[in-house]
Amino acid sequence: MTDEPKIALRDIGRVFRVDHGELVALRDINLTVAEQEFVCLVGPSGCGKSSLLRMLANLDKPSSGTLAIRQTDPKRMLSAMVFQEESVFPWLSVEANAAYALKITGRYDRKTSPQRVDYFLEQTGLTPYRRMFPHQLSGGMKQRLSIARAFVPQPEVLLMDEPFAALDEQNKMLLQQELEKLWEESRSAVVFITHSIDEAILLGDRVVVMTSAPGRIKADIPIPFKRPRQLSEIKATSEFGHLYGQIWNLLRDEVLAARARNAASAA
Amino acid sequence: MSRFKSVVSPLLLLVLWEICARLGWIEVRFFPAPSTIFIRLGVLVQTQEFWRDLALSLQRAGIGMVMGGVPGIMLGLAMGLFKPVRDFTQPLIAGLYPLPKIAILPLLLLIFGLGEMSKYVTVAIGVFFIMVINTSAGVLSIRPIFFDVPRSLHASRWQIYMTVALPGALPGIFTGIRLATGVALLLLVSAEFVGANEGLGYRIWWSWTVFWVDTMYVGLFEIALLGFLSAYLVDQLEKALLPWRR
Repeated sequence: MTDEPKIALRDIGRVFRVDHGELVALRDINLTVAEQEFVCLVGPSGCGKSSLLRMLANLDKPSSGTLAIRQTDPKRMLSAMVFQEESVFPWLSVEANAAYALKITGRYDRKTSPQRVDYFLEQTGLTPYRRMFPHQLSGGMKQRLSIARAFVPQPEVLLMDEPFAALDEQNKMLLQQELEKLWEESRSAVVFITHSIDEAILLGDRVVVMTSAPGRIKADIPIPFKRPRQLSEIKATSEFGHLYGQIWNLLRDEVLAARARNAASAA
Repeated sequence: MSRFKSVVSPLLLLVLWEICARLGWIEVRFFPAPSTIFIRLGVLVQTQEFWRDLALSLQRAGIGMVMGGVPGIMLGLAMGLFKPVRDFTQPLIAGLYPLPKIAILPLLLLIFGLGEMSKYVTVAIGVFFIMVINTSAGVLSIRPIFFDVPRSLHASRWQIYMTVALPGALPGIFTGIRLATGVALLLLVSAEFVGANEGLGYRIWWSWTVFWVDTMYVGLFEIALLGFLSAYLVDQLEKALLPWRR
């Protein structure tokens, strides 16, 4: 392992053209993510964190600055993304969905790949449903499937855009725990967007707080808890309360600033 | 049970018709009782002519559907995927689609003559428009997120078309095929009325002119049956090919 970062963002800016002029979504973003590091991004709605993730996922390009993901193993897949929106293909069976990333990148191997698919279907509790189609699954199961789809190719970088946002509280807690376990085994570098401070502290090695639009990085907070973590256990510590308060104060200022700006522009 | 239900309404209509004919409530010279028609059918199926007409019409409809359907699906996919293609062809399609295809039949006869080709082309034109419209609508109805998944995996354009655009458009394509089979029969029979001396449409028209009303009704019955069977066939095909549809 080297000290070189896995992901390096330098002076990233993103400007969108709108009806009357331009909208600055991101400004002066400098961020690095180390090998095997789990970074959570939190920020008010519309702060450009999804834009940032889309750039890392090859779905968008920065208007300025440089973005680099260092590939360590050319045979491994560079990155995979878990979307917030339901994104499993309705026309593929559960197992075909799980194998999709391997197949489309030409990495599907008749000998080893089925085992990998089996393993992650088992880990996400989808083995009994493997021959079914997504319309036969619940929302939580579909999201587990899209997590399996991202993990199966063992990408060097995992990008997650509020993957649990649409789920009910109990499913969300179970999935957070399962995600942590899966990640412990694979140790990809992760960039994870969330609105939930609990989730950010539970999962992240670092929590990066962004400002309201134009998005900049406001604070970068290391999370000291040892892994594996249990939300119920870490929540009982005074350190958790301290971190929670710190992040919430930073966020609240930004949410209020965004509100004031919206009110001013509406007036 | 549902299969039984699907024949209830046609059967009921036939029974009602039979009763009205027997009681003399309708003019049986023009509206012969179903039993008369079926007896006539029983006689006709023993003739070579019956089967030649049927085979010829099916062949014309089939070839016409392929001739119009394949380019229709291809243009529809291109229109759904590429905005410039859509912007260029949309006005043409929107303008030409509502033109009754029967209205240009004289032109088609002039260009393609009285032979088989004019029948194929008549069917093909009608099928083409339906397939273009339904295929492009099928592609456009695919949620953008489904295209983001392969793009985020650095997939090639071709892979994106094959793994997202095509399967995503299949429901639309099937809707098109379902409508197109009906339209193909409709257009074919009309074309055979005017410019043919064999085939279902010709037989219907000819029987009417010589006042063989029973034979005409046999032809009408055949077309209704073909419509029913083709719809059933498309349904079965869709169930087999798209098991993921609810």
